[in-house]
Amino acid sequence: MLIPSLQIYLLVGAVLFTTGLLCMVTKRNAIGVLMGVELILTASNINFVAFSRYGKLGLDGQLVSLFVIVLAAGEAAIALAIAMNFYNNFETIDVDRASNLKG
Amino acid sequence: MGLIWVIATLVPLAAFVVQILFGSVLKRANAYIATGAIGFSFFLSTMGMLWYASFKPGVLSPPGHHAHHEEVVEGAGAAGHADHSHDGEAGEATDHGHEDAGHDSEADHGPVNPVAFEGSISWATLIRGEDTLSKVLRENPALGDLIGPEDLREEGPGVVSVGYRIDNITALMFFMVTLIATCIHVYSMGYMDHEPRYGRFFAYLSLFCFSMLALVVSNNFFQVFMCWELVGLCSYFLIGFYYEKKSASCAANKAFITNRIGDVGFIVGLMVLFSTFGTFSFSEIFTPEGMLNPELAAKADTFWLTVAGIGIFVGCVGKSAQFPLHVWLPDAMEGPTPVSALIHAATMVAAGVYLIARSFPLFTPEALLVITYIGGITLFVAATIAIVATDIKKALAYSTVSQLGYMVMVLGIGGWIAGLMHLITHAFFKALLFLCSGSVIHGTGTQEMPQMGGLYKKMPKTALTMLVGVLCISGFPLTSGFYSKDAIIAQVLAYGESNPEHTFILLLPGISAGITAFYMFRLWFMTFVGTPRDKHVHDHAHESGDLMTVPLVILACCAFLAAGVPWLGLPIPSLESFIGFGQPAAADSGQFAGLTARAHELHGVASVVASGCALLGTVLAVAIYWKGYLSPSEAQRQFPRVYDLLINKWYFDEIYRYLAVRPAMAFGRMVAWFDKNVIDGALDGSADLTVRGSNFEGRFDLGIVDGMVNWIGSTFFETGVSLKRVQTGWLRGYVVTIALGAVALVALGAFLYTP
Amino acid sequence: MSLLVSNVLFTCLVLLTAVPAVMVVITQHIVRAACWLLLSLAGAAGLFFFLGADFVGATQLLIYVGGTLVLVIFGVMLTATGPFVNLRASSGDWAMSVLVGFSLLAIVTFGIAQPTWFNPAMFEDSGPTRASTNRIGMAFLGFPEENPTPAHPAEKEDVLVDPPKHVGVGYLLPFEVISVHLVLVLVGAAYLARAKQRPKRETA
Repeated sequence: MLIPSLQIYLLVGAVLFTTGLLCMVTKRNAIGVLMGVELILTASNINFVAFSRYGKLGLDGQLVSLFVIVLAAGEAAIALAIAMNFYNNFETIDVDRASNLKG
Repeated sequence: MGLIWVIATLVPLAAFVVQILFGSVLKRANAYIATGAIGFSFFLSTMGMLWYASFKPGVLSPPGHHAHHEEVVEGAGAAGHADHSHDGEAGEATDHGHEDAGHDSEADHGPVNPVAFEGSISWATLIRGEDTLSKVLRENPALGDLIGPEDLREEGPGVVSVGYRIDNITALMFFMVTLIATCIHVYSMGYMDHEPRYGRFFAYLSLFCFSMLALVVSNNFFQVFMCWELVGLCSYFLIGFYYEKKSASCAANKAFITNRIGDVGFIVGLMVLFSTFGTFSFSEIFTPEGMLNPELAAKADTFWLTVAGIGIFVGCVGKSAQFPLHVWLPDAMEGPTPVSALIHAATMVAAGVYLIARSFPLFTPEALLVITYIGGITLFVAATIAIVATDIKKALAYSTVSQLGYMVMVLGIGGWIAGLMHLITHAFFKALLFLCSGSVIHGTGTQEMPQMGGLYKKMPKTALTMLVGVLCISGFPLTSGFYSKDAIIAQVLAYGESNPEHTFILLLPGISAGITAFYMFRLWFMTFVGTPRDKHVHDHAHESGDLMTVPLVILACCAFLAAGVPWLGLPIPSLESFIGFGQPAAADSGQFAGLTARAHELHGVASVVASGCALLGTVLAVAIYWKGYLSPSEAQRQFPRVYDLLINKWYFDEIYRYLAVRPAMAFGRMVAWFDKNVIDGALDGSADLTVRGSNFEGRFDLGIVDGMVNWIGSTFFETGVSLKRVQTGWLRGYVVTIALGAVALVALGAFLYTP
Repeated sequence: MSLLVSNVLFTCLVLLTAVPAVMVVITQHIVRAACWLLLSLAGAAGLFFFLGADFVGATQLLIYVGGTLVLVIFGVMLTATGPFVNLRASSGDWAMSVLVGFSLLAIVTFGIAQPTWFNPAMFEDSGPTRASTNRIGMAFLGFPEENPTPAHPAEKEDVLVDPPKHVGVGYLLPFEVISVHLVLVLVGAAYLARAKQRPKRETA
């Protein structure tokens, strides 16, 4: 039984962040990587709103998280477009194959 | 009316332009254009001469009637003259008419202005043009009293103009040139028939005729100089007409260069003249009577006047092939024979003598002495060389040089009339002789007299006309050459009387008269008489066509009658009186005072001397080359040194080779060596130095500057190469790295953080 | 709502957020991962509601769950490469990423647990901030809250007692920037995702 507190929220955010990171690292599917990014963004949103709730900064946190949500939507759109193009050009969605620019 | 001469001058120029522009179209019609043009000029000059005679009736008065003319002019002393003239008429039956002529000539030179027409156009101003003042004066002659008439001149000082000036000499020269040129044009149509560049030949002839005529009519020294150069240029073209032949092109170069040497003197003379007098115009330099303009003479220093005179004479030396510069004329025989006749006998070489006569009042006594000696040396040297010449044209060429020497020498001793007379008569008979020799060459195909002989039967017209020429040049009585040479000898005798210190040089004309007769008869005998020496040549020989023989006959008549018949006292104008009308006062004053009259008194002696010398030469020639009493080869053996000297033309070419050509070549080699070693060496050295400097700089550039840049570049490159392995292209690895970095950062912060 | 119910609900929401997130990582099938993600994001939206950020939560649901996730699923479907393509990461990757991830989590957790940066006065539990859309809209437009009177007197203590001055600065400019940015992003996305055109290769 958890009691809502700032630490809990931050902990949830940390978990979400870590899972997002792991998702990015372990998924070879480009869409999976995108999901990881979404998770990380959500983690940051949780942190923002939690600080907005528990801090003395008023609505700032909520507004920033709104921005983040909207930006995440845009980011998702463009990331999907990139994924589509990648798929069109390489006939695969495997990010490990996207190594044309390697040194 | 003077325009008649201008037109006559310009017609050959127009013909030349037409031939040059349309020569390729006209082809052989060029000959007709050229001949027609010069024929038309001849017609105009005949008309002009008649016009001149009607304008200046004194020129036509036969010796006996001169006095009446003089009366009109002078009035005083008319009775005395009339007496003389009566004497002349009385003595007409005798052969001693020379004295009468002498008296008449004495009466000749009063203040008579021989200039009938003059006009000019200014085209360049060397000092300044007509100033406003003189223009105002010219428009208001009434003011002239205040200033003086010299300000009213049409030309300001220093104005170079092109114009004409017609006096008796001009009219006569014009007549002579056009007549001979017409004959030679007609002759050339036959002679050059088979030649390539037939049209071009006539174009050159037309240009030459224009140049010569413009020279003769010109009224100032500058125009004379320009035409002088044009004449020289045409001569160059025509001598080198067969330019495929090395000898012909060399001869053309030789003639041109030799003439340039003379022209240097001419230019110096002209410059001195101009800087002294400030004008080129004859009418300003000379008074109408033929003296140096006293105003100008007052300004002039005698020394500079001598320099100017000698300078102009040096030009004449070049053009008239006088002693030091005579070497080009025999070589000029490489040109076609009509050219030799026209240029190198009748006209161009006459230009030098003409110029001496024209500028006679300009010469100081010192300059005249130089002229005398140069002429004397020339006439003797050339005559002796002609004795041994075997090439028919070369023999004639040396004879020309010799005869020109006569003219120059006699001009130098004040024999103005005699010199010009000989100029005219010589032009006729030398043109005749050359054309005859051309006919012989045309008929036989050789120029070497030893290959000829006995050609009389093959080509009688040529032989007879040539005989006329030979008689003329030898000075046989009744021929024109007799009168002119007689006048020369008389002048020489008269001069020798008053100047015994120059006796040596004065012996030469007499001796050379004999030599002349000898070599001319030698030439004729060797060519036409005796047994044929070369069968092939003899068989091949044939008489030339009418186009060539008709001019020969015309010229033979002219040559025979050129001097007129003064001794008969008939009312026929003689050459002597025609020329004497314009004798400049300078030729009968000063050191020459009374010389003309004395010369006339000595005509009898002179004719005996001249005829005697000629006869002696003729007899010798007959004895050796016709009758064969003496063998020429024997004479050669007897005087080997003399023969060598003569056959080598007095070693002039060799002397020039050693004195001028070799030093010039040596100097050239020296300059070349200097160029090659010193200048090129310095250049090479500096170039080498530059190369070395550049090499050093290049090493500096490559080693240090480039090295630094390359080191930086390669270092970055290697760093990049080593760093590029980091760029794995493994996207997920990047994420891991970022996370790892964050972890490391926090761990580091925690480690460093000390509360 | 009693405290107990509230706590139970909170626990559920935390679990709903964290567990599907972990499942997203663990599962190999991309469609399942998307489904787990859906749950996780929905949980996060619940947490927003719990935190009193109604508008943010609603937005989260609408945009993420309703928009982005659909987009992701579309992407999955458009790039499906068939069942036999193995996109599984290697064990080494797994090990390394788990190591890194957990060390990061440990550090963050350790940080959260640290009391030193935590100023209780600053972060006292002031209860959920009831932010109506009205206020958010006003904040966006930059109208200063001169009179931060609560919408309801009963919730007076819920409202920030001392409204900070900087709220009055507003978010108009960032809003504008974001809007333009989004337009550009969407145009770019449309450009990138347009109908496939093979680049014309120049035939030699």
